[in-house]
Amino acid sequence: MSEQQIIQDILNGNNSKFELLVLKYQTMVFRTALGFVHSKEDAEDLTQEVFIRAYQSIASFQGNSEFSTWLYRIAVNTSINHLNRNKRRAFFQIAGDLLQNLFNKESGDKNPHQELEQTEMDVAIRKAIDSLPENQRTAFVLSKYDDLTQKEIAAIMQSTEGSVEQLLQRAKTNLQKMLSPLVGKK
Amino acid sequence: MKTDDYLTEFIDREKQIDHNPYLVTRIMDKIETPKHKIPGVIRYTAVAASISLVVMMGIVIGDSYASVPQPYAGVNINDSGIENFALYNSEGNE
Repeated sequence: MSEQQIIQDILNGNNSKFELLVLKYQTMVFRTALGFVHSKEDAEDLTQEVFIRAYQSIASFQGNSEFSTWLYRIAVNTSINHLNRNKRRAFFQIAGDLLQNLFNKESGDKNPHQELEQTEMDVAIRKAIDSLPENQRTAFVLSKYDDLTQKEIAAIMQSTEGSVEQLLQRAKTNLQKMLSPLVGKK
Repeated sequence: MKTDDYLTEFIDREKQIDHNPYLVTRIMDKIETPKHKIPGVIRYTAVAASISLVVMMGIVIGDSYASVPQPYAGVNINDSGIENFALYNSEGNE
């Protein structure tokens, strides 16, 4: 059954068909959300919000682009809105989550000192990603977390491949600038 | 280790995180459960009306109470009939 048929069925009132779309795209949406919020629980909440929004506005899907592109747009916008709403608690949440991870993690082959170093590095990386400008961050997340091509990212961001390439390059430079002092210490 | 390697390692670790297997059930439940959202004005009116009703009921119930007049019952006690406790308290009579 094609996506177009599924969408038509949903528009005709067969809501249960939406489950097929959720099953197909939930991992993709979850991963995008995770790239923005870095927390499993928040990413799951965002995934739910994205699908509810998609369901409510499915009638506005024209079919001019791929359904996945349309869904990615909703996922990116929902994630950015979520971040803007929760700017204040972001830092404490990051630190809290990472400390929780540190204490709950099985030690594996690392000693406590190495674990602590990694936690510090993780906090720094998350802070660095989170401090990127909105469009650089979007391009970075879609490229690294969803492994999308520049062409696909350009379609989602309604931009050109050239500008996406620039955004990714700038994001990379900014991240290196922010993280190199910390990497140099190790 | 270069910055890129740290970044790649961090992202790979995050990508290994899986969502809850029941996420789809949760989403479909939210979608299929019809929302009976009551408009704000109706909600506030209902709250105000119920408070007014409770106050009115209090007043009506309070007003309905009427004290029943009780017939006067005087207690007529003759002190001389009371047992003399002094008999038990005086030490000389032991």
